[in-house]
Amino acid sequence: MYRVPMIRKELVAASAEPLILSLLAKSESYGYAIIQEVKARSEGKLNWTDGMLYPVLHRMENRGLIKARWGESETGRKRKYYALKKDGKVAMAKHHEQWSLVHAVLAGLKQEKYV
Amino acid sequence: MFDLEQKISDWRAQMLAAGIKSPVPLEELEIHLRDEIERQKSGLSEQMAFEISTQQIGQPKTLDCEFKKSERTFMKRNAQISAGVIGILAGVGLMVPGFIQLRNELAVADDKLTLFLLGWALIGMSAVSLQRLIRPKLFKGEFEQVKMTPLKQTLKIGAGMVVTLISLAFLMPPTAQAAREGSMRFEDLAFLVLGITLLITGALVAFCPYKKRAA
Repeated sequence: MYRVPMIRKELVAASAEPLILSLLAKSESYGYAIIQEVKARSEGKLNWTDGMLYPVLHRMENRGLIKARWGESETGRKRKYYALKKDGKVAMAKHHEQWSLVHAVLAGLKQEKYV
Repeated sequence: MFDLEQKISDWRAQMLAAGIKSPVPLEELEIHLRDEIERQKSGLSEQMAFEISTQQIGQPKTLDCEFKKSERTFMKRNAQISAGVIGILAGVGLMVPGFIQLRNELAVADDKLTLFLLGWALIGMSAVSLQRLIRPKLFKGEFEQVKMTPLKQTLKIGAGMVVTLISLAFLMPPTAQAAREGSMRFEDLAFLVLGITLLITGALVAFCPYKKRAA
């Protein structure tokens, strides 16, 4: 069976922001949970270096796309929760539009090749 | 005997030595590390779980570089906003002598006029740089930037500034006269209204390169 290889780091980096925005659009979350969800959804193919997520989150916070608050988990452990802001929703819509376009072009070309 | 708390403390020291000095990122990274160790511990020894988790988090130097990049973006934006505000204040400062002379004598000497125009240009340039940073945030998703070539954008801003300057020529004499005499004639009022209209039009032409987003 054909196995999807690990995704290249350039693509991993480019997809970080749209993935984070899309995950936060569902509900607020924290760094560790974001990484675990991305790994689970990509079946481990999107392999982020865990620590690299935090500079991306901070950059997005500085740009006003997301907001953060300190809270506590059910086990009492301190956590920094991130949530989407209005600007983040706009940025997410743009990302979806652009990634869908790229996907549509690629899918079209692939279909033509095998027709 | 493996001491997890001691190892985490050593790891923190390594992060600090690499340059991650601000408490928030370091605390977040440590919380992440503890979560990952907890998960790994279910099938591995504490020592193995710690080693795998620290590898997974990444090298201290690489992380520090990424955090510094993020801080630089933030600092650059703040510096641009500060420069814009200082530019506007300096521009107003340069315009004050010309305004005072105009109010007192209804005329402006050449040297003060030069300062006046220089001040206005400075305010215009600072306003343009500020609006690029601030406007997109004000309008959220309702407006989008009109795409235009740099030449067309410069011409548009220039035209807007010329209209604004003309508006000032209409505005200043009646305003100065009203300030001196304490009253305003009807024709002066008409010039004032025309001046304000031109001022708003000029400002919109110069500083509003946005259009309403299509539904």
